[in-house]
Amino acid sequence: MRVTHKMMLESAIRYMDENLQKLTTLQERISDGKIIHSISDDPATLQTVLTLRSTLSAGRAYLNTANETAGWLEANETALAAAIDTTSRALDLALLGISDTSGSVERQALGSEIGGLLSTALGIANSTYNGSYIFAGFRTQTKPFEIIAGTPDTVAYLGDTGTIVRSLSPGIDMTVNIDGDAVFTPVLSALIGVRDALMSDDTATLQSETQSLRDALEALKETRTVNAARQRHLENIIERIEQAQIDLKSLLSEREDADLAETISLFRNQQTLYNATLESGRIVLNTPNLFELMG
Amino acid sequence: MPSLFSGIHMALQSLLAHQQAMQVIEHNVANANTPGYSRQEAILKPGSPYPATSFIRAGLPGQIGTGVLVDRVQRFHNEFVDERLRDENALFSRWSVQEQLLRHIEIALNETQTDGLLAKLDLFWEGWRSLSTDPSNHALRLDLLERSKSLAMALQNRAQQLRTIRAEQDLEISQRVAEINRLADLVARLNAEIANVISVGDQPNDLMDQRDLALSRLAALAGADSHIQSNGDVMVSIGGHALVTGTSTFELQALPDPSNNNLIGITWSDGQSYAGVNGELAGLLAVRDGILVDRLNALDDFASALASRVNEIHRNGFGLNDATGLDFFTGSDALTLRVNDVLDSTENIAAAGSPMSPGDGSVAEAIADVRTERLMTAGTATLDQFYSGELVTLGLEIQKAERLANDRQLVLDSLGMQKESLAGVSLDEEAAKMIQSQRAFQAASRLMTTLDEMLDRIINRMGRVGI
Repeated sequence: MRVTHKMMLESAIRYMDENLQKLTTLQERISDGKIIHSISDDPATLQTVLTLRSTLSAGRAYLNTANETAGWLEANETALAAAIDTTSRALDLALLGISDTSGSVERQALGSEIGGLLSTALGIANSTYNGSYIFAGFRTQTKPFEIIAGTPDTVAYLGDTGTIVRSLSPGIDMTVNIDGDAVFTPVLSALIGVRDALMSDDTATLQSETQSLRDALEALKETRTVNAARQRHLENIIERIEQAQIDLKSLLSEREDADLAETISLFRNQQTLYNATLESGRIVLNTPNLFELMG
Repeated sequence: MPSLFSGIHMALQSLLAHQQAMQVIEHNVANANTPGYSRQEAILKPGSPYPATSFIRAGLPGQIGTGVLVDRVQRFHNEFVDERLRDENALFSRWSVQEQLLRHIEIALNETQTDGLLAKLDLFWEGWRSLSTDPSNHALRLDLLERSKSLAMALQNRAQQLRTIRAEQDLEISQRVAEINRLADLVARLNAEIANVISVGDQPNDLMDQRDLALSRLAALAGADSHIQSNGDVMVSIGGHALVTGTSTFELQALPDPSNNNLIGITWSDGQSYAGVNGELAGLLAVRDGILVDRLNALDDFASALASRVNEIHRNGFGLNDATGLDFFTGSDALTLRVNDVLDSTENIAAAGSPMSPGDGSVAEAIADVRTERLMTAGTATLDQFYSGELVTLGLEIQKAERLANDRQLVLDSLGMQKESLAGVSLDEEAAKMIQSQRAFQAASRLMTTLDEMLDRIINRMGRVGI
């Protein structure tokens, strides 16, 4: 084949261009450690990468929900534990009041102590988590329990029976809140009853109100068990979501991250090639023609 | 008998012929880097011989030569290679323009981790899910509002950029149409000049180079087919419609097309529609009226499905202030999609399924669950899947254009090498031929000097014995 200087020049330019292009691609990979930089780099892998990213984001959202739910359940637990303590203490006092050894003066004293426990219990029933009343159903912005003065005092529940359900994974829902009306109204009412009976030295009523208080305490304990079961279940769920997130991240990394050791060695190799091309280009471009050699 | 005087004439002819050959070499060297130039060579031939004149041909040899002449100046050129080059150039130009244009679309739609539409969509769903866990939290509501606005903005930006890219092609197309018309006039004029030169028996080498260059550009622009006629004229057609025949041309027009959003359309001046399948124009049109329109429609489908489904759920929900029946998004396509202005007062955002239930996040949760609803492509794909599928389609289109452009480039390069190998100027070769001509020129002048001396001997010295 007849070869002209222009052909050699054009080839030299093309080879340098091609090699530089490859070098740039590898450089880009090393600079941010990713294989895919634009849609067309690898459309099929891109689809997987996008799906994985989106699944990760969904997992992140579920994890946030789960952590938030854990906080709420913990608040339930704290409130219930405190309520059980308070109620147990009140029950002890009530039993002391029933005992024949107590006279009306002692009962008065016990009554006022129970009055103190009543306001503690009221405070517990109005517990908040993150600014929301946890025993108010959906009406989380309304203080759910109030004691309306009268003869006798009555307990008013201003919340509703809304059940707050959170979805923790596709298909896994969990009830978060506890029906305050069902759990705390009996406690508060019984406390009022016991207090009033002690104050008025009415042992017959005291007997029945103490029984109500005992029942209310049992209900509290049951609720606490339910809540504890939810907490354990939630812990499992959180653990599973976290494990899934880790697995997804490593899958994503497999797809979109460049193998740095491999990429760098390819880069070195390409650099050598490029240098060689430059060298051969230099020689080609400097090759004299016959005109220059003729004196 | 030949005379000494005829020898001087022969030497003169030789001087002139090699001088002319030298001129051709100079022309080659000067044009070594001129695009489209085909090297030329002066072809020498011996002058017409004549029989020796004698009464009885007493032993004199037969025909006597009369020196050298330049027969013609030959142009090195292979019409077959040129034709293949034009075809490949048309294909290469089509796909490389298509690739470049698709790269613009790719940049507009690029899906990076921070600025991707899907990343924004994910944040939007996450925002709803967070709100569902703490529906009365104003900070979460504000956050959701911002995420939603940024999603709407991302859709709007993408739709806007695609529309801009589409509209910008008008200039590209009309410039190319103008260039085609200009080149058609040039080819017609060259046809006339070349016919003139050929008719007097000369070779219009440089004019033919010029015409070939114009034909090659026409092929790149519009995939024009060119055929050399027996009389030296070239006939050019695009998609079956004649562009140049002999010295007459048919004009292309670039006018706004009312049936296509008043974007520039191409028609022939006789009203027929333009049907070029290759060349840069075909690439531009395929992207502008095919791929780009598909992508825009997909964006609109995506936006309207998102808006209508989210609105449907949101309308049934209740805000913190018990506002209900409100749309979350306004607008129905990607360009017009906005977050409802009413929701700037974030208590209007409906997270609850019933009034007076600030702790109820069931509607927010239902919206967060839209993420996994198969709303697109006849209930087979979620919004995420639909959009990532769109990106993959675009990616594959780009890869296809890139691959075809690269393939054509390789063929084009090797054909270009073939053409250059035949028609390119080699400086070494020209230097060698220059020396060849120079030596022949020197020999001819030496010959003339010798003949002069011989004549001098006869005229001035003969018969002067004793003078």
